[in-house]
Amino acid sequence: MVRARIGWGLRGKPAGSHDEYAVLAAGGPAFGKGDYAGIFSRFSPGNPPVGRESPGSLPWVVLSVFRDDHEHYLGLTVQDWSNDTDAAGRPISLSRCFAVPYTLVAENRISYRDLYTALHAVDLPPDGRTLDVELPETAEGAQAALVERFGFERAAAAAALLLEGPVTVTRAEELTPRDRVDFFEAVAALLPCGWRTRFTASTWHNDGSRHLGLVFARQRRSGSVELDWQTPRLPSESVIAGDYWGQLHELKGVRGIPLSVIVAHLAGCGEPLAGAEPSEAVHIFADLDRPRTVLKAAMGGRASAEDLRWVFTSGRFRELRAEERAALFDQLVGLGDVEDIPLVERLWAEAGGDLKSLVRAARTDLRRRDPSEEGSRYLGAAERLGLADPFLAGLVRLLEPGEDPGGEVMVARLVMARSQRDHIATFQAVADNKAVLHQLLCHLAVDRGADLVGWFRQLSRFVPADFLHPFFRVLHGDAERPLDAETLSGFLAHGSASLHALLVAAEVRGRLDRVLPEFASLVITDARLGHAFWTDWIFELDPVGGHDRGMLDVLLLWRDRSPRHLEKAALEDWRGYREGFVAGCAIPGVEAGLDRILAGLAAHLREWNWCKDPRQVAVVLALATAYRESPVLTAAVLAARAAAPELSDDEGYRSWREQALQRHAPLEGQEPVIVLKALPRDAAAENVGRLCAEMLGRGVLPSRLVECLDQSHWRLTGDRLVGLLTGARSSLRASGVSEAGAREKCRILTAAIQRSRSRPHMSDAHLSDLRYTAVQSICTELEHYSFLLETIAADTEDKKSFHVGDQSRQRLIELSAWLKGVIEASRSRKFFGR
Amino acid sequence: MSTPPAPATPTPPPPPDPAASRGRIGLWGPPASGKTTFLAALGLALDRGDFPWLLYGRDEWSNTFLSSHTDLLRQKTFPPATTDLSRELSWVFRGSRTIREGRLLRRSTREVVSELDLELIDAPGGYFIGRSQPAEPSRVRFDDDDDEEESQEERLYRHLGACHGLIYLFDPTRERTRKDSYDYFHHTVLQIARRSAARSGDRFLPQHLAVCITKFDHPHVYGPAFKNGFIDQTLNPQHFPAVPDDLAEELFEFLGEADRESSAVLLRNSIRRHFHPDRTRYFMTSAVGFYLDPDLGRFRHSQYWNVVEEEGDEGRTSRILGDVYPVNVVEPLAWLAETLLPRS
Repeated sequence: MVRARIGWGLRGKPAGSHDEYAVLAAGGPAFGKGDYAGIFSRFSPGNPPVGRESPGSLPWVVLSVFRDDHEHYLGLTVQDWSNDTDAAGRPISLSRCFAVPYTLVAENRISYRDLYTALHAVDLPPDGRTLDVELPETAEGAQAALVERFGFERAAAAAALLLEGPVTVTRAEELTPRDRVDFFEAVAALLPCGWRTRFTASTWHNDGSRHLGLVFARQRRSGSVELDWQTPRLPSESVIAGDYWGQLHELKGVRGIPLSVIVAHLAGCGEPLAGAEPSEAVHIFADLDRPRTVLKAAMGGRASAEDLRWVFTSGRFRELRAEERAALFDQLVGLGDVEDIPLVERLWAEAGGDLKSLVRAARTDLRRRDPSEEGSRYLGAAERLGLADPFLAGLVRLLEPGEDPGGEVMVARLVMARSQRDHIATFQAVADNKAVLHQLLCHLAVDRGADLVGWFRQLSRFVPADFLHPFFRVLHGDAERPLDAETLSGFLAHGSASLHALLVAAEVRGRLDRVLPEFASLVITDARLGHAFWTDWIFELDPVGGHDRGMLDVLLLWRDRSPRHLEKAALEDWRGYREGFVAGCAIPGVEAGLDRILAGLAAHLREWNWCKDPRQVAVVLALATAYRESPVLTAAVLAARAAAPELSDDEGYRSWREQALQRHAPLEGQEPVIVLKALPRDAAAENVGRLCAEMLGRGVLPSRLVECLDQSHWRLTGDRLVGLLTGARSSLRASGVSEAGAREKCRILTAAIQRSRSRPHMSDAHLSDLRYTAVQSICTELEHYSFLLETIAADTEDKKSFHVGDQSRQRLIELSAWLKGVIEASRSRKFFGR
Repeated sequence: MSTPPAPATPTPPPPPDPAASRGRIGLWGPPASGKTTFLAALGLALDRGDFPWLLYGRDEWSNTFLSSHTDLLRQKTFPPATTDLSRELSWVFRGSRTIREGRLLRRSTREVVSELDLELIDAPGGYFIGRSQPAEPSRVRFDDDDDEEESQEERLYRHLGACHGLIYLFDPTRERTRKDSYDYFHHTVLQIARRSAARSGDRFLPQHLAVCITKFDHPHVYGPAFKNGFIDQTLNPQHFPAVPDDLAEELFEFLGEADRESSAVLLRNSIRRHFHPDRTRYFMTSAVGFYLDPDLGRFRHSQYWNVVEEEGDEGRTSRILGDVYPVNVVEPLAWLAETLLPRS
């Protein structure tokens, strides 16, 4: 029993009185009559019926909540008829409200039922005095028994619905007021104890206060959810209630947790929930059997990392069965968070850790981080657990095709860094996983400090000699004894990837020359290397020497790809490159495709702007000289002048050109066409004019010249026309042609362009535009020269006087007349005869 | 060969009233003046009399109130004291009435069906003097306190202020002992005035007021009325006493002036000051009516009171003696209803 001093208030009216109902007396430490008047009014269930036999007859019991500035109080009000009547002869009802501190109830687990039993008939002290009573502590299991008595379904539904709002219980006429109080306790027992700070109820409701949560009534009151006593069920639209109800059922029905455990757990959640969101009640619930809740969520892929960690850090994983905790531990390890490693390591044995999970976690981590940092922490844990060998082996085997490929580089680095000689499983796994083996060998090739001999000796216990030997010879063998064709051909039996790995290992070790010639022969001759991916692999190889580069470019050209190393070789070792290129072209079998190789090279030269750098010119000329017989390559080198007319000034080029044109006599006549057709889109108009002048000088017909221009990427505009003619004139004059002669050539060229309007792309509109912009450009130049004339000829003293000399003046007059004639004629005649 | 008679054409139902209206009726009176009993008697009164009105609840709650309280009176039991302000009772008062149409020589009348929504609140009498809560709570707090939540009294006053018609119950028996009728009237009329005076086109409050002098069957009311010649027993077949409408106000004044200490004079003056005489009407009412001798089938002056007061374990209780024949219970409501509906 708990001794308690509680407040109380009595509402009614004196016998025979005409007065209205009022608080007649009150006592206790916290509240006065005015306070109780407010409490009675706020939680009034309505007007009681006069009859004493109906379900709604007095007594009524009301559960309420209120507080002062310090704490919450649970109110228990009992309203019943007195033996008195008022002045109108009407029976008087008396309401007795008891205010019990919530902390007293929560700490001593006093039920509503026991409160009612203790207080409903207690004698009240005189007005103003506190009520001293002994309250019983609720017996263990009593609340669960009440729930069972009314039916779990019914009580759980009411509890869940209360989370969302008021509930009206209907069709429960057979229940006595005490039964209803018991039901209130059953419902409250299925809610967190803290919910009692907002739990309000009434054994009957007759259009009374809306502040009452759970009430019995004849019919559903407005704003509430109906719970039919006969067929209790949740409304389908209830969300929070549905969650809560579902959890109750899950715990009791599915997981088989005894009701007494559920009720005890909820009774322990005493933090007041007044003002809290209803969902908090749902969350509170989650702590009960939380390990299994987390397990269930984890199995559905919904468990949070925090929950998983909590299960193990709190030690509550021990509540789970061995297989359950192992499954959950798997999930924790599977998070792949290195921060969890100490926890994982500590609980590995107790939680039933599975190496596969650890391996998978490390694998996940390998994808995210540098293995030298975090990946090795998993390995460290495995090492401390004495599982390093199976861990590494597992990591390697996880990468096997069909498992989880990728990440071989990282795994190979881990194996290389951390494996021990006695890691039999690891090396066996590596031997079985070619991808990892390849990476391991490549890493050994990179690591100049690696004990190659030791490694190969170790690997030779697991890896076939015909596989390992070529690697050893390439990486460690004598430079004078490269791999022979037969060995390499035999090695290809291990698969293309292995050969590729051998090449890469050789490349990174700087020993590609030991294998490249025989490899090149294989590429040319062996159909097994015909697959397209080989082209990419060849392209990716990055040798250090010019010779290897030249040979690889031949292979690329053989595979109809552009040479990759030409530009780089020109800057470093162009002679070695040429030799390698020539050597590549000399490989038996290549001769049949040499024209194709050179055509590919020529096409590359047309695209590559190599003329600007003398070193690049040198390597191109070296190749062009080496294959001087190739007209395709020769034409490509000749065409380079289209982009760089200044090549004519390069002595080496000039010499090569002379020899080339002698060797390929037909090319001499075709050269203008070759060059002009090769004009790049952005060729300078003056340079084009220079080429045109040169071609005209060599007797090329203007119409043929214009045709070549039309076939090039270079497009003629008004501005360019002026520039072209200016460049042509300058070039002609520089070559000794008179001004009149140069002017005549320009006129002829212009006429040829004029005639070109008949071609489709030279439409009337185009010509009109050409004319307009050309004239605009000329006007700008005339203006400029007029300005120069005026500036230069001006008298230094008298700005209005000019000195041009008589001869010049006469020429200016003639020019003026000429221009005037053109201007006047332009009124009726059109430029270009239109 | 005679032509067969044409089938009788049933009388077509009256057209619906285009002016169907919605009205709030306020019920007002001190504790124990019989407000709840008045409402409880409405159903029986309609069925006892010959009224062209139907009364039913607009919602389930209003219907339940009507039927349960009718049952109570049928069981010869008074409703208990009202302790809480009810929610708004929403009743429909439906009937037919005659309206005038046209102008001057072309004026005609016709029957239309009228429907009036009546909204009432049954309040404890204490609310009408502002004493429902002795003092403002000072220390108690409620977590779900809503600062904007309307107090019960405020809800009642807002309701009364918005009413189109008011029924004020004057209980002469209470006035005889407590002499506080004026207090209950005055406190409330000030609240009503504050909320509705601005709506009025004249200096009075805009509402129609039906003043019901209750407990007509009580010896303290019937006795003086009988002795002073206010009673007419020829107005109904059961010879129930009745006070002609034009004498009801006079009887009200007579009852008030009979006691020099009574506040009824103040009450009368206050009524006249606040309500337009044309919008005020007096009714002598009794919710349970006079006792009808079941053997004779009519009223007997020697046993007119229909209430029995008994001393027992529960103290002095009152119960209804015979069948309930309400007097002037429907009439005030019907009068107010008529005033709310347009006349043409």
